[in-house]
Amino acid sequence: MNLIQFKQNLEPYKNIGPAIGWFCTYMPEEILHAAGFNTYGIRKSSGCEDEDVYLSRSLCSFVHSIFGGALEGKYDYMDGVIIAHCCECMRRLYDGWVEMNAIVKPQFAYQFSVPTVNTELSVEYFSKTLNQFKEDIEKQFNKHISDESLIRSIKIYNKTRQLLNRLYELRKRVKPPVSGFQVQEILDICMSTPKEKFNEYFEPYLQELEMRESGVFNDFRYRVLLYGGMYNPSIIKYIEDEGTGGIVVCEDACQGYRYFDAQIAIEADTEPMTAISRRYLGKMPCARMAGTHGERTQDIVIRLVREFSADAVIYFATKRCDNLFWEYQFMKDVLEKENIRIKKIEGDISGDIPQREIRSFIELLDFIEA
Amino acid sequence: MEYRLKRTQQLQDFLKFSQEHKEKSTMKDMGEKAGALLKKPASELSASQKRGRAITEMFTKAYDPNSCVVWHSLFMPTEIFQAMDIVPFTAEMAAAGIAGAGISRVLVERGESHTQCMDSCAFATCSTGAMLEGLFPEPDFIVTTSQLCDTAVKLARFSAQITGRKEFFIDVPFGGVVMNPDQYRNTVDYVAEQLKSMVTFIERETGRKLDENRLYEVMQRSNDAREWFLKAMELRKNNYPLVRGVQMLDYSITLLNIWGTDAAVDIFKSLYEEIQAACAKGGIAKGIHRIVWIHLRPYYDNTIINYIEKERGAYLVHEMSNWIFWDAFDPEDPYRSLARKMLSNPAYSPVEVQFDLYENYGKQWNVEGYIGFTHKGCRHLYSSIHMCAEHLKDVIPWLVIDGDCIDPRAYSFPLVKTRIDAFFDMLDIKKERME
Repeated sequence: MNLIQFKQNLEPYKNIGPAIGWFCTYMPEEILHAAGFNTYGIRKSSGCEDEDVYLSRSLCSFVHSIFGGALEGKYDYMDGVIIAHCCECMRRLYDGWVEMNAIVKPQFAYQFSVPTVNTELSVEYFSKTLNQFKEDIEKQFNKHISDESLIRSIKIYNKTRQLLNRLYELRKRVKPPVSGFQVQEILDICMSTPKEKFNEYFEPYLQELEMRESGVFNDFRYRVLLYGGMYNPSIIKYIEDEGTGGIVVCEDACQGYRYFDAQIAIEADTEPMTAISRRYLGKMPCARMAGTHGERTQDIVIRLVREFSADAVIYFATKRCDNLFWEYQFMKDVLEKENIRIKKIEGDISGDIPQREIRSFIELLDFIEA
Repeated sequence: MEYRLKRTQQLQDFLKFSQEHKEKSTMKDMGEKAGALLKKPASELSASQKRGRAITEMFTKAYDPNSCVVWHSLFMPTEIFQAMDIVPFTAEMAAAGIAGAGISRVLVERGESHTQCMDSCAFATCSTGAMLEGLFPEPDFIVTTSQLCDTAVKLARFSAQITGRKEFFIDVPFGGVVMNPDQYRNTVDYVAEQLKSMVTFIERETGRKLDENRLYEVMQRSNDAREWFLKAMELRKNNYPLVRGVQMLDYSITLLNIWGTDAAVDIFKSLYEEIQAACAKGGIAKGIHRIVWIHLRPYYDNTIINYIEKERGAYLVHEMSNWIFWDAFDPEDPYRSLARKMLSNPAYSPVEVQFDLYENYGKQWNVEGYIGFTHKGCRHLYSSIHMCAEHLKDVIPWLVIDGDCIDPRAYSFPLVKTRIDAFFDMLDIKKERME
């Protein structure tokens, strides 16, 4: 099986209902799945960044794109959307959704607060928040979410995470059998199809990839790790397709490792909601996280650079994302001490990317190498 | 504690920097003014002067090598610090003083050279510049909350990095105002537990012990100050102008870090008495339009509010930053009381809370128009002001002035004036028709 066949197999299952949309990886999909919904991550440009005039110009392009998509009816097939309160921009996305409720689709929007720290206290608190979320979903859709169904859903999503971790393991090889862009396509499919179907069709394709000994590119010189939140996929395409000599081997980003890095540990003596809470707060942190867990970000990037044998880090700062802009200096300081090359690229989640900057950075790597 | 010895030099550096880089300033004689205020007996000072003196004293104390100093983020209640004789220093608000002193442009540029971001919050960027220049007094420790914005969290982390001091972080869940009773109770307990852990942290870091009786007194004093301020605001409700809006904007009581002190009680009592006296005289001027100001004012040299009040005859009857959104504390239950205060901030809630607030407020206070002054780099407030203006446009007239509170680089009075004039011309016509 190749990627095209894999995609074709899943085409009939794309964006089928009943469905709930989500935007941030701190949103536990398992709870919605246990209520009988397919959960779809809205992770890329809806093509409607310019449609939205309601939210004002202070917010990031991801939020504008989502909201523009809602105004244009791109998510009509969904029964609702869940907006985790993870940053200031998402805060106002919810407000816009409620305010323009008469013309956006789907009409149902729900927001809950996600702690910014990972402590025993915050895990306990977040599990209570999630219980409230569960009750509200049950009430809204007249469904019942039992512990058994929750555990069943956790197992399905754990399986997905396990498969995606195996996929990323392949990228550690000297000659990775998949390109960064292909991985993005796989993640796109994963986030827009029911997980049961994704698991069913992805596993045999993954097994084939695991058997492959040849690399996807015969001649690349540099392995790049991409750091960011929501980034512009054109960056990966440019690095890999335009003869820069680079390959993207890992993404520490919302459309990458951060989505699936840790499993939910189901133990006999732990409430499922506590286990979910622990996993989501303890997963690879995004730039929004604070406290000691937030400060692990740099150590994690260093670990990933080593594990994936990356030669450099491209840091994608989405415009008007304060978390990413302010985090950059911390990252730069730590990585430079470790002699890891880093380049910040600013941009929106779609549209043009600064190609010259990327190319000259990679040429600089050549120069240093020489 | 050798780091504390640096503070004397830091104060000198600050003053020297101010002299060398000062541009046109709203506080040209800041040093002299502060000196004169400190010399005068309290009985001879107006409420505003008392406020100025209390802030100056607090600021000066923060540079004293004998003081125990905490850098804290905005909206972190200061009662616990006051009860432990710890001097609170709000790095973000220090930027307002810097802008008033006419040195914000150069420090914002310095901050931007570090953050490499041109459109982030200038309060934070300016403070970053001041930290890089070594102008702020070395703290003993840092306390941050997740309120209200992402930048505050990052600024605090940068503060901890540049000073080498330890940071204590308090996670404040969003949307306390709209939670159901069970959820709210859990959330109050969650925040209260963190406040208790903060006290343990401070005791460990400073060797000081919190005296619960002292905290009780401080909480009581906060309640007293709150009562005086509410009484003063009540007088403004349906009267002629009793106090200049620009003066009231400087109180910005939601951001004030002298809550819990005797000075705060005295200031607000004096304010009430002054407003009461002005009320007896029939007001300080004849205003035409009753306006509510949303958000803060620009702190650099500008004429916006003077123009509105003096040239257009309008007057501010309330300011969002003077909104007492919290209930009186229960001094027997200080941690939960403080947690409730932190959770009841309407600016840290879904914007529908602000819609209701402004709509009801407008009716109760007989308001004719809202003026929202946005702050360019503020993600949440910039958008919420625009959304409020759009939502309430058929209920009450709104003028939104896009600007920046700290960074004077894009300020142009002629551009702002055109919009202000159009707004007040419209209000004039509306009033004429109604009469």
